Amino acid sequence: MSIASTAAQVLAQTDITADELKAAEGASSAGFAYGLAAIGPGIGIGYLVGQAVQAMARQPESAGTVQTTMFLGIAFTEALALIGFVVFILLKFV
Amino acid sequence: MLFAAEEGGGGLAFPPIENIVEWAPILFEGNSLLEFNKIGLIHFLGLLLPAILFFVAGRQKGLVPSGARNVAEGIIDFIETQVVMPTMGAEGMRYFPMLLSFFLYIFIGNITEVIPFFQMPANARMAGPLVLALVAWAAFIIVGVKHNGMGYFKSVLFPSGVPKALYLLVTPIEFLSTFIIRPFSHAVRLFANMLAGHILLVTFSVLCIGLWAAKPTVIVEALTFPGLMLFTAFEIGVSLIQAFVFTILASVYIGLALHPEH
Amino acid sequence: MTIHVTFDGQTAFRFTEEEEEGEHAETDSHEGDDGGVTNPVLPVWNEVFWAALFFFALWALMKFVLLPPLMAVRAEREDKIRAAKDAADSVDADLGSATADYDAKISAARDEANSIIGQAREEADNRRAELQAAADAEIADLRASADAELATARASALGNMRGDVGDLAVQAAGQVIGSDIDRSAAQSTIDRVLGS
Repeated sequence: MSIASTAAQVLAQTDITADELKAAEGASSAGFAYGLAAIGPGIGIGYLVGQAVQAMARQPESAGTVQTTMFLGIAFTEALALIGFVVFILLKFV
Repeated sequence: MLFAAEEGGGGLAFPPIENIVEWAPILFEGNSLLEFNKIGLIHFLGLLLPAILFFVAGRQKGLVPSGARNVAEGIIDFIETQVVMPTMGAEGMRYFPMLLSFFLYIFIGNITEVIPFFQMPANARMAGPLVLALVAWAAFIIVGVKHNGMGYFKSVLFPSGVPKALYLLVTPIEFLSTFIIRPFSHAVRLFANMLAGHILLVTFSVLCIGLWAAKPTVIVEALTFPGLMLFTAFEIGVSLIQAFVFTILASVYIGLALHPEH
Repeated sequence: MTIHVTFDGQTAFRFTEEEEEGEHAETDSHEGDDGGVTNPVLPVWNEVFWAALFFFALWALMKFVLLPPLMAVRAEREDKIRAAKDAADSVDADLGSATADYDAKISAARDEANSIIGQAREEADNRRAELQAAADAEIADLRASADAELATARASALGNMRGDVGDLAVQAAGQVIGSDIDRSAAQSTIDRVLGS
């Protein structure tokens, strides 16, 4: 377990505590995890809503259906970002 | 308590996560199964308020709705025209009580996020979303088996039009995505949205309180307090949309189980 | 695998399921209200219990107590609306048939009127033709009788004139030649001159 031994070495040389080190690593990786997880769904939701708006502008009479489908699509796309958020919580707070 | 200023060189300490999502027991303290806390109280309101509304509405006589019945029928119409009809059609009205209960129960559990004295979405705990997602999961499996017999599992796991050899790949994926990931993502979608919203509001509130207490930086309050108000309004919308999305997804899953060939 | 990295008597990393005694005994997240770090993502059983209880209570209430009267009222109203709509449709249909009747009657009357007018016109035409024919015949009769009269008058006038002119010519010729000319002998000459 090289990570553990490295951490042990780091801890031996500095005066930060193990808990602090863990919290710092958790916080930075949590930030990366959520930041990376938000990229794809961000692009996806933007594209999806843009297309939905276009569809509604072209056919205002079908706006209701488009809106419902849009929410469904957002729900599916958003799931990935939310899983990233859960990973964030797990890394940051657990 | 919010400040690490006494020990360190100043700065704001975010409260630990368990401080903002876990609540002291109100009843049955110490009993690991029956302990009743704020989350339970909010869920109880999720039962009580719709029950009162629909009870009062149901007692009204006459064909022309007014007052409480207007509200109740408005909700019924909304669920019928926006959720059931587009996803299942008229045959889906059999599952209407379940979907209506989903919507109201989740909405009350969400909207307490911005209600003073609660300030906590019950669905930011995994318990509520998990129960509801499992109910939806059981519902679509039962509906599928009831309407299509064991052919339901065959049509889900072995979709027609796929070359035989590909079943090696398709069947495990379909099994995972339909029976494992679907309820999981269904629950996590609601839970994570509400927890994220809650943390967002807590962050802005902590900033506001902290900056108010630390006089020299109070000018920044001009940014954080409108931010707090903005996100409060945003979270009201999120509460409604998440309740709607959960309900419509449950409806879509049941609709897919009714006619798996689509 | 059991790796403990400890520092200052605190366990920093733990790569094992093994329970640590003492201040880190809070890893059991289901009963995490004793102040320790808990996993905010995992469900807690008491909350699951209450959430399930209240949800199933709401579902059952909705299904058996709360919704039926509302749905009945909605169905009744829908029926009423449908009945009223049907009535309106039937009235509409009545109106349509009445309009069709009216149109048919109007067109029949118009046809009748047209046929009467046509008949009258035909009659008038016939009558006019008759009258015309009668008038024509009368005119022809009149003209024929007039012609005949004229012919007789002319014949008689011609006869008279022949006699008178012959006499005159015989007299004049007798005067010229100084002797009486026999009228009957000169008759052929007179006839030749007058050219009958």
